[in-house]
Amino acid sequence: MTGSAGHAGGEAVAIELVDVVAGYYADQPILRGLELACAAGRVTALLGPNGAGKSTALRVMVGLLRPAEGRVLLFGEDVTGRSAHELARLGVAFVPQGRSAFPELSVQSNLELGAWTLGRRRRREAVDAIFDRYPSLRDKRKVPAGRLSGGQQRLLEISRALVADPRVVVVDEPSVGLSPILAERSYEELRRVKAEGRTVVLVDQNVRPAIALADYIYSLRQGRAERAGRPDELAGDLTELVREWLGVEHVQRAPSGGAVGPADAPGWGTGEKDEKEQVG
Amino acid sequence: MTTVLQVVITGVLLGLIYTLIGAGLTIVLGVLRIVNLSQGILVVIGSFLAFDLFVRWGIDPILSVLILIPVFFVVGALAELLFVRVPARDSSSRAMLVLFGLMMVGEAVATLAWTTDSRSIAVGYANGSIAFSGIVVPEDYLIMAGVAIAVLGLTELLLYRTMLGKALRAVGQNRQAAEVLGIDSAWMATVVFGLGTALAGAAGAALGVLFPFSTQLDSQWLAYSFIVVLIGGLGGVRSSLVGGLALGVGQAVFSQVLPLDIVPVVLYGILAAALIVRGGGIGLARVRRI
Amino acid sequence: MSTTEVRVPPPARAPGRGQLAVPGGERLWARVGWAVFALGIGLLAAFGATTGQLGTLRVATTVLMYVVLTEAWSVLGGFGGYLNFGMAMFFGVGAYTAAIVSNHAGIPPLATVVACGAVAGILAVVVGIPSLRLRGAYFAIVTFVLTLAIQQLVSVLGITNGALGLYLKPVSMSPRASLELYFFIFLGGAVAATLLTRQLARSRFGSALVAIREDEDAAEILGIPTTRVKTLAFVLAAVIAGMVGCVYASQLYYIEPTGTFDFAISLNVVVGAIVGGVQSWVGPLLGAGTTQLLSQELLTRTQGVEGNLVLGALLVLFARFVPGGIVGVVRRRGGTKVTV
Repeated sequence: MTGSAGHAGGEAVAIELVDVVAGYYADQPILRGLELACAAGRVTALLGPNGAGKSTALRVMVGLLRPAEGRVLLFGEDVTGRSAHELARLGVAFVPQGRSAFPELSVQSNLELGAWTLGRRRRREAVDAIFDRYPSLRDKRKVPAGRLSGGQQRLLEISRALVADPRVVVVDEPSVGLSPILAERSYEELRRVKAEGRTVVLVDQNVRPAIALADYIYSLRQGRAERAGRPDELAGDLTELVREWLGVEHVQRAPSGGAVGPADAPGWGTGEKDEKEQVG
Repeated sequence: MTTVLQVVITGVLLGLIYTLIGAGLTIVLGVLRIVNLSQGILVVIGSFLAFDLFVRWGIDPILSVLILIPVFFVVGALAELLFVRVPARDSSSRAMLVLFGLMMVGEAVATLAWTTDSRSIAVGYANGSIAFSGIVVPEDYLIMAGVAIAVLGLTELLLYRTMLGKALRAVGQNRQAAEVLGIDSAWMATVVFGLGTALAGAAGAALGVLFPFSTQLDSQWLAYSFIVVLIGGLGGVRSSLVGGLALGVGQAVFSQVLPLDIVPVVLYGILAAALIVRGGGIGLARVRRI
Repeated sequence: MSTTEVRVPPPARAPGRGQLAVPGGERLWARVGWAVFALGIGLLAAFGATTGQLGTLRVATTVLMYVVLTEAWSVLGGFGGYLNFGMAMFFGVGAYTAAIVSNHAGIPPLATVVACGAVAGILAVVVGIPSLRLRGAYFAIVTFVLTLAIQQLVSVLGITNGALGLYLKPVSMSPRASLELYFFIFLGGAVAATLLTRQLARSRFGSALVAIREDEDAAEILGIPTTRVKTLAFVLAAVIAGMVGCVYASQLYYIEPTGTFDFAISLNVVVGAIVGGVQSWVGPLLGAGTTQLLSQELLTRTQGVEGNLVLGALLVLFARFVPGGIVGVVRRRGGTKVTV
């Protein structure tokens, strides 16, 4: 299943994966010849059952995982094998799954580090701009990030990714671990990011908001793109696809129903107070 | 007649210097999750170099600290680049094996260079003491504690007030999150290792004034730095302070009460106990980081 | 120590042979190894019985002693991945038990060998159960510190005569015969230890240890009794070290804390294992042999500091550049893929 032909169709391509084979162990590839293209300024969603390689694909895109085979292109430039910090300088921002704020650093310090790739002068302006945009963060600028509520941390993580004015924002599971209200807030922020003209690539187990936001969808299965298309193109099959993804997911989901993964690392500040706290 | 207060004050001064040794270990451990097993021999080499600088060129150890810090920083950075970086990608155990080997090599080379004889840096103020309101405090302890405070203070400033320091701490708290912000974590590893080494060298210079030292002392300093880390935790300079003071005061108190031979055994026993009680917790997300 | 090509069997499988699926070239390599092994034993035995070079005989005895120690170490240290720096501790305890018991009971030191192993084993249980809860480096550090502590302790205790040491009753034989005796004891011990380790490697016990090294949490979830397995492996190494210490004490007939609890003993064992390659029972054999021959060569020429220098340098070089040890290099050349 190819990516670019039906999708970009004239639009510039922000990120492209060409025949990528990648995995964490040499003999166990997770991505087996994945091809996809994310149009610039659009939202591309990677959906599929657990183990399909969605998060792995994101990691390859942002430089956290080097593909064993294949190429990664950023706005046409071959960046295969470049490390994450190099790609950050090229304007790729990543919001990882789970908690990624630096827990012992203050909100302000977290944001300042978000501006690491800018010079000292621009850094202050950039951080101030974020505080203007999210006044609740300014109120808590000195608070260690680990002490924020789940929703506020998520807000911090997203805003930290935006400080350096990235061209591309890659988000791994924006809503997982959050209550529905806060998940919706996360997506509000992503809509805003898209409205600013940035490219968004995301993965989410909560397929409905992802489908609602997406301009283009890739359905991944066993490390390959099985289906792809705009939401309206896939409309009929979408119900069946969703059932397929969720059906598989229900079997594999942990009994608590919550996120499985580093989101629950103990000691990273207070537990979820999402019901009471507001984002933004 | 030594009063309790005097013992405690002496212990506190000593503890400040022990904090120096511990801080180097804590910072590297907190950021890289690697125990720098060469810490002990670095301290010893620091003492010997300060000794040579003093004996040959009359440079006071206080000044030597200023010289040794950059020298040790470079040495540590090089060591990380050459010996630690590749193994650390594989596993921290492998990196620590290399560091352990470097400790052995360092000890052997130091013994070849300086023999196993005991030395001491006999500065003018080594035997002086200062008295106030009935308490007598050794002058060298006071001065070296001052040096320790200065070095620790600068380190604290570096870690908490500069962007570099924040980046280092960020790498320790979530390496991948730091990478995606544009921070070259491999480079940060080199810097932090150099920093830890520099602190060890400075500590060596200070300790060389207070205690006789030999190339055989590296195990003891390594063990002491562990005690500081285990009692204080991984919170950088601040927690090292807790651990260092506890160790300093503890040693001072034990030395009054127990025969000197047994004191090291007691301290090692405390270390082993602390390791067993605490050790499972260090390195997990549970513990406060710098 | 990260990825290797090892598969871990779930416990639901029938008991019996574990499955240490080592890459393809193992079978040929094993046959060659057996032949060399048998030949080697034969040659050594002949050498021991007939040689006139007493110095070489002494060196060979030491090498064999370290083969025993390193093979025993490798069960927990190699397969299990828990670096045990405490071999000197158990070795010394064995030596001192031999001295104390044989002197008080009036029996030859060699006869106490079982008691020595037992005492070392008990110490290992006492020390091991709390220590083995620690992972990776912390376990290594605890064993390191405890060795230091016990050395200090023994220097000051009365029963051990402090720093003055103890004398044992030597075997009543000619020097030549006694050298031969100890040579053959250690030769037998080396063969036994190597075969035992090999057997353990192929057993479920060995698979369990490898599983623990790969991912201890996963192993626990699979139902492997990790604490019990680790403790057994630790105790095994300790018991053997204690017995070796007893024989050593008997041979030297004078022991004192610095030499008997010398950390260099632990170091020699660990370096030998790393140099040889920790992932195979052949590794300790090759590694201990190589390391000891090297350091013994140097010992005869220098005062001993250089011995540690070489050991440290070997450790640095191998851990940094050749993590699979000699075994790893040979396997890679043989075309079979090994990731370490």
